[in-house]
Amino acid sequence: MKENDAVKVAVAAGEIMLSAGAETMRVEETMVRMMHSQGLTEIEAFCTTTGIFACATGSDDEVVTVIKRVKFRDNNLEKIAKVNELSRCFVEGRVGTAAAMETLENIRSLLPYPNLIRIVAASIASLCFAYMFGGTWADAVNALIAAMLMQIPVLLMERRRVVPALTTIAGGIFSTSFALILLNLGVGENVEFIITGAIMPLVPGVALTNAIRDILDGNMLAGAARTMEALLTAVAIAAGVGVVLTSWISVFGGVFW
Amino acid sequence: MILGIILAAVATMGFSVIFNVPRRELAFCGLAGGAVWLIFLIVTHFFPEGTIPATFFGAMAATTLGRFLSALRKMPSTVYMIPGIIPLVPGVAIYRTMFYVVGGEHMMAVTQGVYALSLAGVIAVGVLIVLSLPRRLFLLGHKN
Repeated sequence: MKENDAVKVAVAAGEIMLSAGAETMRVEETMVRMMHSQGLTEIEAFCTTTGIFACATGSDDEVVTVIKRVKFRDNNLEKIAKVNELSRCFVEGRVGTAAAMETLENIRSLLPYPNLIRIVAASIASLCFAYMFGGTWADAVNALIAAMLMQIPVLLMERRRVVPALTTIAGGIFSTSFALILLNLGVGENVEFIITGAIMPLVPGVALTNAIRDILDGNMLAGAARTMEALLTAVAIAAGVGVVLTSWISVFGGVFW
Repeated sequence: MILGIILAAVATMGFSVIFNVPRRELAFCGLAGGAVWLIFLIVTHFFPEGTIPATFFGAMAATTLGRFLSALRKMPSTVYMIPGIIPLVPGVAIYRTMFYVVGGEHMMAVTQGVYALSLAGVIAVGVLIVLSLPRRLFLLGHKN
C-alpha cells in the first residue's frame, strides 16, 4: 500500500534526524510535511528523545501507525542537512517513495570524519578554550595534549558502545590525570583553566541549550529527557575529574608532587 | 581582542568537526563563531558585569548569521547555529558547579548551577526570538 510506504519513509527520515541530534520540533515538522505531501490525513507525529511515533489515515480510511525506538544519539549536522534536503525534494514530488528510502539508507551509512581528524580538531578547540578562559599559552598547550590523550580511550570506548556515562567518566579521569602529570613536568601553571579547557569536548553545553529550547517549544517530555541527559553528562565529568583531583591532592598534599 | 576572536573562530571550527559539519561549510561556521565572540566582547566592554546580556546578544547574532548563511548556502540554519553558539556555551559554569558539588561546597555549587542554567536559558531565548522572525527577512534577495 502506498500510504504505508509514505509513513515508513517519514519515520526513517525522522529517525535519522533524531539520532543525529536534531531538535524535536524540526523532526516532528519534517515528518508531518512528508506525510502530508503524500495525501495522508489526520497526521500525528510525536517524538521524544528516545523514540518516534507516527500515525496517519490513508485514502481507504485505514490507519497506519509506526513506532521507532532510537537508541544511539550523537551530533551529526551533515546528516540533518542531507535529510532536510531530501525531505524538501520529497514534499515537492521530485523524489518518489522508493528513491527516497534508498537515499535515506545512503544518508544513514554516511561516515563521520575520521577519528584522527576529530581528535586533532577537538584538541585544538581545547587549546583555544584554555587560553580564552584566561590561561597562559603553556596552560593552553597542556590542555591540548591532555585533550588529545584523553580522547583516544574515549573514542575506543565509544566505538564499542560502552554506556555513555561510563565513557564520560573515563574522559574526566584521563584528562585530569594527563593534565596533572604534564603540569608537574613543567607545562602550564593554572589547574582550573587547563582542566576546563581539556574537558570542553565532553561538556554538554549544546545539549543543555537544546534541552531548554525543546522546553520553550512546548516539548516538555523531550526537553526534560534532554536536560537529564545533559545533567548526567555533567555529573559524569565531575565524577571523573573529582576522583582524580581529590585522590591526587590527598596523596601529594597539593596539586604539585 | 583580535586574538580572542581568532581563537573563538578556531575553537568553533574544531567543534564543527566534532558535530560533523560538511567540509565546505567549516569556514562559515568559524566565521559565525568569531562574529558571535566579537558581539560578546563588545557588550562586555560596555557592561563589564554583563555576561548574561552579552550571551543573549551573542546567541541572537549566531542565529541571525545562521539564517542568512542558510539562505546563501542552501543548508539548514542549524548547521551554523549549533557551532556558532559554542563560544557562549556555559561549559566553565557547568564544570565549576560539579567541581563545588564534589568538593562539598554546596552554596557555591547552587550559585554556579543557577548561573549555568540562566546562561543556557538566555542562549535558548535569544535563538528562539530570531528563529520566530519571518523567513523572508533573511533571503538577501535570493528567491527560493
